[in-house]
Amino acid sequence: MNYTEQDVILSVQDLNVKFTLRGQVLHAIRGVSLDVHQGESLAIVGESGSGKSVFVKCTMGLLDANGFISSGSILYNGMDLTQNRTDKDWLNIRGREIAMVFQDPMTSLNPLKTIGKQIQEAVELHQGLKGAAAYQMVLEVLADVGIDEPERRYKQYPHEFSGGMRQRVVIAIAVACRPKILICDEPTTALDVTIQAQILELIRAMQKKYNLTTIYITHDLGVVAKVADRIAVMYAGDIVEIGKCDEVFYDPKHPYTWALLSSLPQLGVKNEPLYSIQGTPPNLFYEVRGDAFAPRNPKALKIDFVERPPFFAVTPTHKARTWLLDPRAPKVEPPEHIRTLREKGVNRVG
Amino acid sequence: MAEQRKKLIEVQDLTVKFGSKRHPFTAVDNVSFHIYQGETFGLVGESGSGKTTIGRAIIRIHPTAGGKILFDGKQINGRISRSLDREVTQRIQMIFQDPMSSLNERAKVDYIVSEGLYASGHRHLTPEQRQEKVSKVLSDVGLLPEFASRFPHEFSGGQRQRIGIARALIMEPDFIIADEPISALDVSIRAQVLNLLSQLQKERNLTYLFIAHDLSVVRFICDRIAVIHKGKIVELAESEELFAHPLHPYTRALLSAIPQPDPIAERQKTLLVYDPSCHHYSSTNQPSWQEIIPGHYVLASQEEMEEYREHF
Repeated sequence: MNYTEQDVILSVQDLNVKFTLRGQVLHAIRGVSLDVHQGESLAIVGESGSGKSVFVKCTMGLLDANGFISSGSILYNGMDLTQNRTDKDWLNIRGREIAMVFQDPMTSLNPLKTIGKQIQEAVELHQGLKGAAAYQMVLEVLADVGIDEPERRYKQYPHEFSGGMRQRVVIAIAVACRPKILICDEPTTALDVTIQAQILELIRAMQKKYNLTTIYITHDLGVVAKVADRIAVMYAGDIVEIGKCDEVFYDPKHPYTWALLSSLPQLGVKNEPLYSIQGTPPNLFYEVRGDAFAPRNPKALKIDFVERPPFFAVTPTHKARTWLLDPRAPKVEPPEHIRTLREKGVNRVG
Repeated sequence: MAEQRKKLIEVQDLTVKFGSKRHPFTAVDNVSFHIYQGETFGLVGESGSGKTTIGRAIIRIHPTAGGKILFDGKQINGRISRSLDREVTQRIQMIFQDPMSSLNERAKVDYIVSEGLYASGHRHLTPEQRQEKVSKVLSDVGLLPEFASRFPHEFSGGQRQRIGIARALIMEPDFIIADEPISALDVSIRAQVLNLLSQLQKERNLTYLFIAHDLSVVRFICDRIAVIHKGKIVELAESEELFAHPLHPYTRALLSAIPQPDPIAERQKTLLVYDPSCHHYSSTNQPSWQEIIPGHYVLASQEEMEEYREHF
């Protein structure tokens, strides 16, 4: 795929987000720039606390009351979303242009309303349909997301649905508004592995059918290999590596991406300890100096502690924020797991 | 040889029912397996399959409707003597899934970890001895002894799970039931907790029952795996054997659902969905629990056994 300028549907420029907490300021997003292209599926991967959820909440105006965007812009179709102040401004964006699927289907549905009514609410609000037409639309959407017997299911309450089925309903509500962008915040974390695979297939099918742009947020790199076109790895409020799916899996450049991949149990060898990242993420109440991952990186260079690395381009679509890519840097070989992964990729491509 | 290994837990024809007498629901249906001393036994299935119920039946939270559970040769389900009950409480411990909700928010770590001591005949301990035990066990799980005076909300998910492990360890158990101990954790933290569990197993010769829904994690940590579906164990084998020759269609569906960190393979993969009607069971063609090769058991009818044998 070749991306041109017109393809960009959402453009984030040098975004900084801060939270005030007990008189202290927490710098949650530290200068993130990212272009999301029309029709692609982008996965944002990072540990809890890396700022991935905060980042997408900004695009929907859902920041907590003590959070604010201190600088930067979010351009959607030429509109700067950071200029939106009131809920009224956001009303045209939320649901209609950008919709979201939340993590836990147990808590994101209203337990006191039937499934049908909850979907119909979205349809009436955003599609302007009423009565029988809205009802028909709801049945269509339910069938769309793979729920059998929509007429009967319409009248049921969330507690009569299993976890996977509830997540299908949440997706139905999001898709019913015919948004341009669908954000899925850990859509499968609360689900079983078998159901997880089915839900990911469903989201992909919806993406194709309605030509959606999807943004996945997850902490598990293993999950997104199938669904993502591009992957952005976030650490301590900053994107440290971004590239096409194959590039990030088969040729990762940032030590943090190495560490994330190596700690997957799928790659573990029995009776040997699994690779685990030592230490904890930096405290964002304090200014981060140099590469935020350096204190946890056993092979960190001296400069990693002093100066923040810029982005180095590996290919036109793949770049990483690490001094290892500087031409003057010493050669540091990635860990063994990463080399095996790379060989897998090379063998199959070549 | 496997025959000579000591069986620490034996479960024979275990049945657990919920609901009233008039509307019973069979959560666990005639399940038999055993766990050898020192091994990690995995119990895998989707939510609602009864895997947690089995764990809870062993630790005497749920009453059993039929069958026997033997621990160290002694029956521990049903009515047992007080001294045996006390012994079981001390020697079998549990680690829970969600470290956010399984710790008492209003108690300090010191109390959370040592609560079991108060409850089980360690009343004679002086406060100093108790504190010493707490600090020792905290450092064993990789936490600082100073953390004893803090509250659970001051810790991250991984640290909380370590507190949960410390709480189990302080009783010096032989057998630990780990009920989805890492499902609620981040990938990077999962590795730390898994490593801690296997390190403790080596140091203390612990036996684990590891309950999970994710086969990739189970493969990494378990010696033998039982796959459970709707209250029945459908397949049981050594981990590598199960991954190399999965026989039951449900096991194959579970295996196909494991996400691989390998985009090309993932795109080519077809997802198998298990449909129970594929067995064509009838009144004359009922499945039974059969050993296909030594150590590899599967729930199958005679016809299916013929078919499965061709895999070898």
